Amino acid sequence: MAKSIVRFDDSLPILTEVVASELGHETLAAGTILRDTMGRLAFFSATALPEETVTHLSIRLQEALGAYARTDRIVASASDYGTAPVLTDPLTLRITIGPHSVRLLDRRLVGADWLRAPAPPAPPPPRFVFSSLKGGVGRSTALTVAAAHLAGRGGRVLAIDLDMEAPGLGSVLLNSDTLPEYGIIDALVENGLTPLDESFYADLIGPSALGGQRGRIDVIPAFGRRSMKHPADVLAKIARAYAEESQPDGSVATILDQVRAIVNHFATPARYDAILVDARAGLHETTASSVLGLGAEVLLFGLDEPQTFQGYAALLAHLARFVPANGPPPEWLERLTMVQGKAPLDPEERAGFEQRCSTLFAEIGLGPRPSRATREAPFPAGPFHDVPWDEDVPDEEVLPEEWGPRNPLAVLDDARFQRFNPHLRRDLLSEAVYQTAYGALLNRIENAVFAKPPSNP
Amino acid sequence: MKLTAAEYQDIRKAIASLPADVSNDAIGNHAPKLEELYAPETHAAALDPEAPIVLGVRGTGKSFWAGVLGKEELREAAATAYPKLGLNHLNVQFGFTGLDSLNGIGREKLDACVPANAGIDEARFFWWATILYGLAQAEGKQPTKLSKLLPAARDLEEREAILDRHEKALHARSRTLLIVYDALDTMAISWPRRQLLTQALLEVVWSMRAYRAIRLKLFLRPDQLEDDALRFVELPKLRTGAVRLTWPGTDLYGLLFARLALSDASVSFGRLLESLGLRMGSRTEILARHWSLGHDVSDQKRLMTALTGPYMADGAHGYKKGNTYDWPLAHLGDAFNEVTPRSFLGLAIAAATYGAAPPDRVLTPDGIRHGLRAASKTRVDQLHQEFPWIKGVLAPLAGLLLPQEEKEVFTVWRKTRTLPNAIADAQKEDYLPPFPESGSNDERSLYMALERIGVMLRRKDGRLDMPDLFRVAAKLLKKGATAPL
Repeated sequence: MAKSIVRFDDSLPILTEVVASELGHETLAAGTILRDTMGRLAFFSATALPEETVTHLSIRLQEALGAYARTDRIVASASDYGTAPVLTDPLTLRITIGPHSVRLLDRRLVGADWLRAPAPPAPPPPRFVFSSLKGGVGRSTALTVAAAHLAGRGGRVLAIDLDMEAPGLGSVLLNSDTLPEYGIIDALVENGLTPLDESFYADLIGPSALGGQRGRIDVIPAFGRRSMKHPADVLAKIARAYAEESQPDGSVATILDQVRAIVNHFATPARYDAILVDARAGLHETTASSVLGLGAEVLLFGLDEPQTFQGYAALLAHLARFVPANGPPPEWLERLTMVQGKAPLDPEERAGFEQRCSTLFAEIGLGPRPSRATREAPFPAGPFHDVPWDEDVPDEEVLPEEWGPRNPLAVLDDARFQRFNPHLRRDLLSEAVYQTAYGALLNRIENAVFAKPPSNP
Repeated sequence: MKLTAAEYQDIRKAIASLPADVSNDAIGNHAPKLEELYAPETHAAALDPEAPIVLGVRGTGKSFWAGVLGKEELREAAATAYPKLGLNHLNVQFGFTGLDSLNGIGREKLDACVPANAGIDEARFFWWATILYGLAQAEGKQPTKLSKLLPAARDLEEREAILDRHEKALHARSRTLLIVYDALDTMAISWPRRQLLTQALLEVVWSMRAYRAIRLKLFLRPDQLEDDALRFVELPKLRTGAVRLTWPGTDLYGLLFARLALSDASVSFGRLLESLGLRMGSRTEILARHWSLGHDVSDQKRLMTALTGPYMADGAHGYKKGNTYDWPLAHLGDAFNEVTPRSFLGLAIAAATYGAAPPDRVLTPDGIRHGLRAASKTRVDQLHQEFPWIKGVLAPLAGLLLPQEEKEVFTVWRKTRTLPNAIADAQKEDYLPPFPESGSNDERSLYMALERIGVMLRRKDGRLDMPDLFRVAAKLLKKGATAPL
């Protein structure tokens, strides 16, 4: 039988099997697997290995992994030069491969931001990231309605457009008179050369007329007036915006760090009651920052179609790697909410989406976990028609497990909000009109923004 | 103007001592009492004399309303709650009550009139006789024996003559005679006989549709009407016209708050309402639904927040755990998303006895969570009265991860011999087995039986699932030996 070519998805399982069989589970679990930028693998042992073991294992791994074996030093012993930094690298992930729990150091040319665990919740004001894998799911419209709704309640809202590939928020919320000089793109380009100062920050913000008279909506668009004047330079700016930035102290600020710094600059409770961020959750480098890095409530928009679940499976399966094996559910899980865009009015039909979401989360390891592996079924104690109650079972064994994402929300399909232009049709932003379609979403956001104290009024 | 800890405790004690068990017979010792009467707006259609078929799962108040209709004093009180229904022009008699004592008609009297091997005609004559019986009773004549009326019931011309005479007389006096049938699930202990009797009764209901002054009203369980074995050409019309007794969340909260308003703690409760700018209601106002806490969701939410805090956890991120108003409703629903008053009140009562009394509110989120456990037991005990096999069928599913492929669910039942045990037990203990015996006695039939009564459901993706309410109960049942899977 011809030996089949090893492909990317095969490589890690092969390496873990070989190392486990040669060195045992414990040595495998204690060491670090290094995956280089090409995807080639090496094993760094946390214990010192005899010379002949290293040689023997290296030969076996080379044979087994083919092109996915590192060419030099496929096995490194604890005592070797250069092993210690790999073993202690903070970007190491603990992941599960088949029966093995292993440490993986994934060196990437791009995508390094995805290796960072989700940030803890940001201090107030609350942040909401509106994201989707694809466009056309009603994400920006939902953000606009939410901003107008909060402003109508007297809230002060900052709306930020991080979707630089397909910006849209600026043109919905602002007009040619209110568009600020700069946009997010400029901030990301300029900060590589000089620290941003207050006057630059001030020129990032434009006020939206949709704020009404009661509250306020400030907008940081993706592109400002300058970009509109020099459209030919936009692509050149995008190329620079994604560059990592060397800090004065010698460290490197990734795009996640840079975006976070900009958002943090504005996010003070004295200025705003809520920060709403429009972002792609595509699997691209830049989207890691919005999903993981802002400490925000993340709303994952999607239509009820297979592409939605396929795309989010990749994103969520990656996030599941940050969940400790037997620990409590991570706090950030409660900050992920799926939102069904253009949802049907019939709640029966929407139930399908909800069920697919809960299945997706559960299968990927982000849902309630089976309490124990049951390979046996109990017989009822006592006569069939009179099984007694067991009063001694503790609450935590019987009550529903409350770990998992929050229930999906629905934004109902409403033709009036297609080709949404609130400047031409202000009536769309009156509560009576938007409440039916957006009520559930707005209720969720409002609860966080105007959170009531737990005690009695 | 905050309440004192003692006042909060006062309300807490009142909740803890609410009667959880509402009356569940139309007549007799467990018949409804005036102080139990609570009249949700949505139940008006069920009491309407024009609606011949009222459906309700166990515990939704079928017998309660049957009993209210049957007793003049209660009917008058109900008339103030539902003034449009003309309840005060009614005479009410019972055509079936499930109890043979008093003037009730139950299985014994039925069996005496309809022999075991009877066909559909005999069954129909019996139901005609119950109508004639009702007419005789309404006239206040000497009590007749039901069996004595069978000859007249069999004779079409004589029967119609009696009906027409009464119809005219009632009409002349602007009265309506309502004949009420309740506890119809108890009329037989074998599937074929129950189906025969149900079908015969439905046929009689259909035949009576032209009479304006003599009306029938059947309180039925949905699964009894939806039985596929019923063969009757007008059945779709009866099914479609049926009214369903349900308890929306607003009505459940309305019931709880009404009980508090009329409890021993009404002074403290009134103070709490006052501190929220809400008005206290009197018995009459509550009954007539002139009290906002009976129907206004935002007022109800404000009160619930004052009773328990707004969210199911304290702290800045507590809101993510959901709010205290919605949580009980979300977890108490069966597969039809229906919540019964008894499980709802059961949850509240258990919450009010859980842990130490907090100084600054009435119930705690942990108490509410714990209350689900009590509610779950209550609900299954309730179902158990009609489906004695329910606990034995649920217990083996305790360890199963749900939702689950049907194959896995069926395997659990197969390995624990649940199906043969259920059938044997039903025979031995003389109750109706989960489903009619037929060629396909398999685990699927068992699942279908649970689906019919709202204990399990099939999800959109085809897997089987169970509402939280019953998952909790399954885990609470005592387990014996285990079978390897």
